[in-house]
Amino acid sequence: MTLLEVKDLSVVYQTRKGFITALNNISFELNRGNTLGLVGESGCGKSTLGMALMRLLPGNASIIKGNLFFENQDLLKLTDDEIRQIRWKKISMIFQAAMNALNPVHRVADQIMEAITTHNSSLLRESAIKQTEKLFDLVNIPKRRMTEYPHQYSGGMKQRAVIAMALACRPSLIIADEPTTALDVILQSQILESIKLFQKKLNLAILFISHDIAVVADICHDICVMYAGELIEYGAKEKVLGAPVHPYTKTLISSYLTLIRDLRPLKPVQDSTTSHISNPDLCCFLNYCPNSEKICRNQKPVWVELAPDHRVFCLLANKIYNG
Amino acid sequence: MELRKYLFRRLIEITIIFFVIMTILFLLFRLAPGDPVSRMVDPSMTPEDARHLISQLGLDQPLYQQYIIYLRNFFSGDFGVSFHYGTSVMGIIWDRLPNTAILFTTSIILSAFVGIFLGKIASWHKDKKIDTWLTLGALICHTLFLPWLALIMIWFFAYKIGWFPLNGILSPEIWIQTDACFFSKLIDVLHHLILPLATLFLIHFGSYLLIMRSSMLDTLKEDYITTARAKGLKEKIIRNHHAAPNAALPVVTSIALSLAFSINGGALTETVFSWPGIGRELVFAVSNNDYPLAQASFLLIAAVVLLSNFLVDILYAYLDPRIRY
Repeated sequence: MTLLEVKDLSVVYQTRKGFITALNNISFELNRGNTLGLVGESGCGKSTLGMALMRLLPGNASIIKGNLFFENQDLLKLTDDEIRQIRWKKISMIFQAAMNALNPVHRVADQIMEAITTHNSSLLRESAIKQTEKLFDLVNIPKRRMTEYPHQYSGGMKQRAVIAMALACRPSLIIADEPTTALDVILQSQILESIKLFQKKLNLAILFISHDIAVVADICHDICVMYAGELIEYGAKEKVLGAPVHPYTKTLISSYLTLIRDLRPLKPVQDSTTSHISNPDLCCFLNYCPNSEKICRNQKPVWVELAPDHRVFCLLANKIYNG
Repeated sequence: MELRKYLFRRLIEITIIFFVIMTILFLLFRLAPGDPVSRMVDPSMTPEDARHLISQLGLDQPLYQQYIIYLRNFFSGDFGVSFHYGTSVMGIIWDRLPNTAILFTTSIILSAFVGIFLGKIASWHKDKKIDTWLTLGALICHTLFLPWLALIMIWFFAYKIGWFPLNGILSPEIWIQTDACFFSKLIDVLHHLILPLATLFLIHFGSYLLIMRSSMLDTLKEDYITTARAKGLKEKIIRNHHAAPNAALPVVTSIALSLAFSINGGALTETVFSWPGIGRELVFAVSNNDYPLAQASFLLIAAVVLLSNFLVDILYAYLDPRIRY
């Protein structure tokens, strides 16, 4: 059952140098209880997408086109007050920098409780406290630390507190924006395990934003690969990571180390986060593509469906796929 | 417990600093040009009488002995007798202190609250009309020259329109009425208070507004504000509960620092408005080489500045949980 459907979403930022397209015609779907990984290098628009889903984009950004269907209503058509009701209650977020995601002058438990009471004003204080205690149990933070302030927590505890906060209102979708980026590998695997656990327990849908393919491979069912504000390959994890077709996806995967594959020289992704303002109609990876042909310079790229659960935004997709 | 330990340490520090200031003050007055005796001593006096007066004042003793006497008198609460008034300095200070306190505490509290509040509003409506006007107004007020503003206020509100009295703290007709009730006296003092208060307020609120505004703008960019928005909190709660407490911290520091300057500015204000406070007395004492009075007023100012810094330390620990001493 489809929980979230993003259709042709385009976002531009207004800057002093003119408009910059941050997202261009993004479309994907996310089912209840599934995890969708969103990978791409820094600056490709992953976080902008996450913020757009919450309608939390900064003032100089605007959604110029598209629809965001969530539980069959278009989030973009809601009033400010209506979207406020949906935030956190239905869609919550795990932020990338947990250190800064908590307000330094308020107690951790109060900040979590605030999320609960805001969306359930009739709730008694005692039961809100009880719910908060349960959340602390869930993420393995001792109850006696509820009254402490964020600076008294370690990095991992803060991250777990942020996760507890995200779960506070039992949302159906969590947007996890690089939740493990700032953590060391041991903490990272602990946090990932607990996210997986909650997902099963609570039947959550997760949009998992990361630049780390290894993490995404571990946790996600489906994967979207983004490049320069565009979606370029989308499908089941096994297909996208196991048999990548888009030249950029291939480059991205070959730039990561893995213990399964034989060791071979890494191929770093070229310094390529350039905007494609010069020619917005052509393929965004054209200038760096090792496979590019004459047709790429003359024609807009199209979506090629290689399998029901594998789509590639490339003119040469069939050719590359068939070897 | 930690806080108590820290405060204890701070108190000791403050005491030491206070004694350093006392010593410097003592030396400064002995080094200052001009001789108090030559002012007091009438040229027609005989040299014997003059010498007698000098020894009465203790000024013929060696410096270290004068210093010991100075310290001993300080601990017995004796600040000497004013050369000019001929009465006890303590009496004069106790008489003037409430007047200064009324003017200052009110003006600082008022300008801090208004400045913080308006700064919050301005930052919230950044680049809108209200922000432009508030910032512009604050900048203008902040850069005004205090005595000029005070004179303009007197000229306009007291002289041209005549809404407020020209100067002083109490009207002469009420002053001479010995049976005037407390209430009518209070009303009269408040009536006199408005102009100097407004002057000090206008000079000070601008800087608080500007600091609060810029601090608020920084705070609003923090991730926890995005978190608060994502949580679906109302904008008003985000502004007042999540942004403002963090943003107000630098303003608290600025209030403490400005206390020292406001006493200085207070001397000007008090002089222009003939407000019988410590500041005016200080200017008067210095220009008349009234050592005991000037010394005591300077000490009082030092004590006020040190104590207000101490209070801010406590306040800071209360406002920001990250600060644990």
